[in-house]
Amino acid sequence: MTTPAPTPTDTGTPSPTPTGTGQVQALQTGLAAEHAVIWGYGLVGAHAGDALLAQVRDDDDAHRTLRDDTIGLVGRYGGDPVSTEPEYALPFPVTDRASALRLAIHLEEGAAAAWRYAVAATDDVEVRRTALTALSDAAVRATRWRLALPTSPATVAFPGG
Amino acid sequence: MVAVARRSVLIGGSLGVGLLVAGCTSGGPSSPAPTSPAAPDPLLAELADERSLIAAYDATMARYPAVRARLRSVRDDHAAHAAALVTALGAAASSSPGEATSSAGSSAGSSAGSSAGGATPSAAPSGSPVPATVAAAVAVLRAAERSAASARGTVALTAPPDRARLLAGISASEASHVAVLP
Repeated sequence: MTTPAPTPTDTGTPSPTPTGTGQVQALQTGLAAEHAVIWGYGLVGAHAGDALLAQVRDDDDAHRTLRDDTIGLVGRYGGDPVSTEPEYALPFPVTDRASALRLAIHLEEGAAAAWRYAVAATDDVEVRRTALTALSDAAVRATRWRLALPTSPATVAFPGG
Repeated sequence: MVAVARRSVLIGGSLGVGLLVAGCTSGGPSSPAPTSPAAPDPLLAELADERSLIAAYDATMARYPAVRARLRSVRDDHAAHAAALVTALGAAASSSPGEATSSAGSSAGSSAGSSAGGATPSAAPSGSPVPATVAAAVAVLRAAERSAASARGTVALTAPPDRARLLAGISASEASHVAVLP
C-alpha cells in the first residue's frame, strides 16, 4: 500500500478537521482506484458500441470529477496525491461489447471495494461521507452495467465485497 | 491468463490490511453489546428496518406475481443484510424477536429467500397494506429503499470501523436497488 510522505510545504490551508485520523490513506486508496477506473473506461468506450456511448461518457465524467475532487482533498489533508499508472493489466481480454461491459462492471466493483475500505479507514465524518457517496455511486453504476449486459442478479448485497 | 490489474492487486492488499486493522482495533465483527439497561444497540433499529423491508417485499410479491422474479433477488439482498446485522449485533440481537438465522452472507439470504415465499416473517411488523396497483406498490418499495440507504449511510458516518464498513455496504446495496425496481 502506498503511503506517501506528507508534504511539509504548507499551502496556507489548515487541515479541515485536525481531530480525525486516517484521512489521507483512505482518500489515497480511493484515488488510486479512480485512476485505474478512468484508464479502463477508455477501453470500455472503444468496444461498448454506439448505443452505450452516452452511458460510458457519463460514467467516465463522473469518475474524472471524483478523481479531481479527491486529489484536492488529499492535498488539503497534507498528502501527496498518488499518480496514475502508465498502464494497467486487464483481468480478461476486451474485444467486443460483452467483454467491454464486463470490464465496466469489474471497474465499478473495484471502485466500490476501494471506497468501502476507505469508509472504515478513517473516522473523519466528511471523508467518510465522500467515500460513502463514491461507494454508492459505484454500486449504482455497476448495477446499470449489469442491466445493460444483461446479467442477473443485477445487484449484490454488499458492493465492494 | 492475463495478470490481474496491478492496481487491483494493490487495492486487494490494502483491503486485507484494512480488515486486519479493523479487527485489531475494534474487536472483530461482534462489538461489545451493553448488558446493562443502557441505550439499545443502534444496530437494532437497522435490523428492524431490514425486516420490515423483507416483509414489504414478501407482501408485494404475493400480491403481484408478475414482478416476483424481479423483486426476488432484491429481497434476498435484504435477507443477507439482516443476517449480517444479526451477526454484528451478537448477543444484543436476541433482545429482539427475530429469525433464527445467524450466519452472515448470501447463502443465508438465498436460503431464506427460497423457503419463505409469501410466508410470514416472524419478526416483521405488519406494515401498511400493499397498494392497489403494481406501479404504486413498486413506488412504495423504491421510496423505502431510498430511505433505508440514507438511514444506513447516516449511521455509518459515526460508527466504529467494522460497523461503518457493514452499514456502508448495505447502504450502497440499497441505493443500487432503486435502479432495478421496474
